[in-house]
Amino acid sequence: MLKNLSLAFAKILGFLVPTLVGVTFFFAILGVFGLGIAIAGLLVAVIGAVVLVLRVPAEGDAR
Amino acid sequence: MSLNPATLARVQFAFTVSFHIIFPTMSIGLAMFLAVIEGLWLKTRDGLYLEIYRFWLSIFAMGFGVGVVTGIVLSFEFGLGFAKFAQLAGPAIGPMIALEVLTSFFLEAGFLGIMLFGMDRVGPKLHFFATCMVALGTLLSASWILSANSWMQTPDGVAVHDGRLVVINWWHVVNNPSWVVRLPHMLSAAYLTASFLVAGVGAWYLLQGKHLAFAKKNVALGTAFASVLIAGQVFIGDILYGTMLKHQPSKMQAAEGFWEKESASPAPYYWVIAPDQKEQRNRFALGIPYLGSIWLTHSLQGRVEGLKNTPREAQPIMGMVFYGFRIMYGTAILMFAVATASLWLRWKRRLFTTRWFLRSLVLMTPSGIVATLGGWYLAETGRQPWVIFGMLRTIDAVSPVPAQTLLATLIAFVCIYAFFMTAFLIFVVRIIRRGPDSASIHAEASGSLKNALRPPVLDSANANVALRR
Amino acid sequence: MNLPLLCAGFAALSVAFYVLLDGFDLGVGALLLLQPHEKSRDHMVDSITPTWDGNETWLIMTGVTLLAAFPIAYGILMPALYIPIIVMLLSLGLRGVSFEFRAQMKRYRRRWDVIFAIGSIAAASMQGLILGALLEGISVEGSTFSGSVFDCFRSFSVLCAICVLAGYVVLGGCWLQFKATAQLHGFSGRTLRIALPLFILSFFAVGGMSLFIQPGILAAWRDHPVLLGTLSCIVLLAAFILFGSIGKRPDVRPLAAGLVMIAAGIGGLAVLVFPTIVPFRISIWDASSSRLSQIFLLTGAIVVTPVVLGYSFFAYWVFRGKTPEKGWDGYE
Repeated sequence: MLKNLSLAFAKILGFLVPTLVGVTFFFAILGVFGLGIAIAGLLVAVIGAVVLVLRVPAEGDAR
Repeated sequence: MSLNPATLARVQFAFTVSFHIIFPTMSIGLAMFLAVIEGLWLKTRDGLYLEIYRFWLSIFAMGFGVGVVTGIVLSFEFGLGFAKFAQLAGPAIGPMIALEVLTSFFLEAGFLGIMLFGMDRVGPKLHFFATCMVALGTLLSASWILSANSWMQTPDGVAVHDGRLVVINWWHVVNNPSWVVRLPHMLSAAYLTASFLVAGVGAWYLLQGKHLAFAKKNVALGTAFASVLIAGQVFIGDILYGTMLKHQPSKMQAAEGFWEKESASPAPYYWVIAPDQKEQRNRFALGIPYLGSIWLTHSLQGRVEGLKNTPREAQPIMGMVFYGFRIMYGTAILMFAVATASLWLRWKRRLFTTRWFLRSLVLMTPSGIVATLGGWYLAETGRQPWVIFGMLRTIDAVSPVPAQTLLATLIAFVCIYAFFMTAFLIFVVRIIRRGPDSASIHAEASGSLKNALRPPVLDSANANVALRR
Repeated sequence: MNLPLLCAGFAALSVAFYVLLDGFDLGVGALLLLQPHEKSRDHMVDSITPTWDGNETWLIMTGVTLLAAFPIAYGILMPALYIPIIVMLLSLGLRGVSFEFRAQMKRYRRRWDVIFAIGSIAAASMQGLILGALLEGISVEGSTFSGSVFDCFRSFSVLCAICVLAGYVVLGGCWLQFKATAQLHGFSGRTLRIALPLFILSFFAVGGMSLFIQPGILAAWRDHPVLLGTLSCIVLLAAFILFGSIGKRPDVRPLAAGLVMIAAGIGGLAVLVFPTIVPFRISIWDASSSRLSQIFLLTGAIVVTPVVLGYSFFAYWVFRGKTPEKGWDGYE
């Protein structure tokens, strides 16, 4: 039962984490927290995406 | 809908230009995508990239063709439907449109033929150069057209002498206040459109279990580009919002669905409204509380300016502006969500196996086109009642053509354009059904000089000449 | 440097290039209806396949030059010629799509041929109607078109439509003489023997009728009798040479004569209309846009036109000689 709980917990987390991160970045980029944070958020988002896409293989084995 | 010449002229132009914009948006995006793919192929010599190139080349060629045909109509339609606008604005936008025509013919004359048909005929570096030049050419063409449209939104650099427009400063005409923001916004839109097209087709194949290597690469590339582009697009969109708030306040007042000069505090963010332009109020409105103040005033209590700030005779129709904006913005939010999800799944190594995500990619295939259309409806209906903002009203610009004639030609356009769209869709579906293995090395669609550089054709022609001797 | 004159020259050149380059493929398209054998039709289409769509460049260039350099004229001519222009644009679009589909769907080829032919005939006829309406005179009040959209359907314009269609069919026939082999050679010869006299008759009928319909044309004849007379003689002479060279070697002669004939006709039209841009109504200078606009346009034109011309020349050169009977591979 504990295993099921932790599985469900992991699934919920797997949904919540990207959603919260995404929403935060979205609000930041829109300038809700000011222009400085917007630009910073944009840079982090873009550079983060580029790094992720180039470095991380999209599946377990070969790309 | 009344049989009013002004209304009919506007509906006709709206129809032809909406139809047209779908195709250059795809062409600009796909051309850049093809340039990147060919670059990757030359660098890695991985045959998969060549397969991807061939597959999308045919679709690009057909879309480009339909774009050209429908674009030709537009260059005459300015005068056909809106003669007075053409007469007034000709000195300013005429040369820009002429330059767009010249740029695209230069590109078509020189490089498109090689790109579409010269794969075997010219060296790989020259072919890649041709592809890059085509991508650059579509970008430049778009720049000219955007400059012309931006000039209509935020005119500059001209003076009126004797009722005619005289250009006093070309730099101000071309680099008018909104162009520098609208151009990257439109280009991003085109690149995002291509990204979701590519990802969607890849996802479709993955769901079917076919052409797996090709499909995975398409999904990976499509989502990668989308992820990198969407953040920038949202950022530029917000900057553009501020620009238009300054130069065309009436548009942004209409875009948010508020009527009162100052909204309630805190202001909600409306998603559904039933506006009544006559009564200057919403019969119904559904929104998320607080979000209006947060997004639009960057504070928790801010008030938003409503459409009553603009005198009635200068107000655009709120319903069209609002929904154009919501469709664009809503689609952008979906794109952002899908891109974020793709990054997460990529990190978890589950990008190709998460079926609900692949299904959402398939649904998002036309998202770029939907968002682009929404954005253009915002741009154009929001500029009303002006055709040149602050200078010429649309109803004063209409050609002296009777309503019945306009209606007849409108019906003709709808029928024939429906035929073009059907032809295009049949063609694309066929390419997708056949799959990447049978994609030819040359674009399928015909067309004059493009055929000249097909090797069997050139050999045939040369053999002919030899025979005659 | 008279900018309006230069721009008008460029516009005239655009029109001339369009007529001379697109004329024969509209003519070949029209002739498809008269050709019962499928293989021959394929051969006819093959002869124009390599070069047909690039020629439309010049049509767009004319329209956009008017918008940029002579916006007043553009704003008068477009609504005045509303119906023929839209029908022409849609016909040209249909031609394009039917061309693509003809290659893709071999089973329905006959149907696509018919659509292609009808599109060609419609486009050619509309161009003739436009010419007739322009010569007859557009109703203008100030800088606005003040007539009816149906003005262009009068008998003079219909006569012009016949003349232009016949002229394009002549060019099409000449092109086939030059490019085609065997059975088509006879076919094109036969059509030329009918189309050419028809063209000459309608040409002089139009010329004669125009003297009564348009006082501006009568005045032009009075002002430039030698020039116009010479051009008319060139048309006749070229027609005779054309007629005499049908079916004989060298088979480029009918085409050369045909192009000279049509070019002389265009030249004559230019002399008649000069210096107005809305013929006999508004002069080049009154219709002009601002100086900077015309400079901008001309600069672009000077840079790009040689490229487009060079490219076109290259295309025709690559496909020089006879069109192979088996086609350009992949179109069987």
